Amino acid sequence: MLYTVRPMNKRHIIITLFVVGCMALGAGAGLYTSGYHAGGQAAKPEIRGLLWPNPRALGDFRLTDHRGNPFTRDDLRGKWSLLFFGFTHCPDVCPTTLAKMERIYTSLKHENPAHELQVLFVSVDPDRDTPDALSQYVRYFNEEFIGLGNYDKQARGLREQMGIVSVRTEGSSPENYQVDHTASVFIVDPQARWVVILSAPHEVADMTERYIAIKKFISQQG
Amino acid sequence: MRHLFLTVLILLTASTNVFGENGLQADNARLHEAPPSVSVHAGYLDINNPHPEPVDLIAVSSPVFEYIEIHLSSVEDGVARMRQQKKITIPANSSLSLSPGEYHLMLFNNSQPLPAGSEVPLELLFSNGEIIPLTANVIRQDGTHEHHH
Repeated sequence: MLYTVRPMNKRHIIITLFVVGCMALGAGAGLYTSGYHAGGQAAKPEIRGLLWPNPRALGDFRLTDHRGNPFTRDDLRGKWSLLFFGFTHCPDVCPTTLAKMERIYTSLKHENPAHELQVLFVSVDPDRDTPDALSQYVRYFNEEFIGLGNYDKQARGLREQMGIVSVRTEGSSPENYQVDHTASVFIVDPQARWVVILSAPHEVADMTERYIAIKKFISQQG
Repeated sequence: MRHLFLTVLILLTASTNVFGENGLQADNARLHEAPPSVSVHAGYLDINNPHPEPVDLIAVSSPVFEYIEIHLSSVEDGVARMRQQKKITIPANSSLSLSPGEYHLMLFNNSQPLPAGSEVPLELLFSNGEIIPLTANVIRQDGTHEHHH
């Protein structure tokens, strides 16, 4: 008796399931919207990696770009920046990440050509990554990407203040050493504040969605 | 009944031939085109081991490269690492893909330019003595997720 389901009961179960389903959906939608609006505009949206309400204001630094020109904190102002740290002799992780950043950059620029966005590849291997090597490397992925190196040991770098890890490890010969390095992509806002860490593994659609959501949120904060 | 038996036998024989006598198979070999300033390439491929025991890939060679190493990429605590490996073990009755961010080949110092569309001969040497020659295609990576064939 317990295990027989009469036609009437079956219909009841379906209706009950439907009602419960609707309630769950409603509750979900409510939670979703409240995440964005509760507590006014400054409430932190649920975006993985978002440093809010404490974005990190970057201090002064002085790097050299792949054209040989100085690149300082002022070059971060007035536009959004995607930063990735790596080195040109890294054949697997770095090119894969840069190819993904190229896709993100191109799709965002395609949607809005006036979008002020720059992609920065910061070398953790200035000994091998001369400005010329960096130039050929970043421009292979996109003519507009910017390669940066810290060639002046006296100059204040960016790696130190962002806590970027870079450790040289022996290769099979002295010249093919590897550099372990932070794999995350960082988003810096137009006020030169580091606002997001996008942790590896990187997926183009996910990174693009998070970037758009974060840009919208930060822009609303004024 | 005898007919069915024969058919099954023929089918079995045919499939053995299709998969080859050696057993190990490798395909989908490709190298990523390298930026102009770079002489080290990353290579990927799929290996299938139908043997009832594990087999190791122990060496890879090519007339186009000075030397080739096996490496493993990983991200630990947010830090990307790459370490040379002596071998890659393909478990019994299994397939293994060398793919971006995981096991891959590192190919050093090409003797000729390798733009996308080039073909590179490779030879894989395994611990059971099997040798597989195959051709890798040079492709330009475009950031899309890679699918295995």
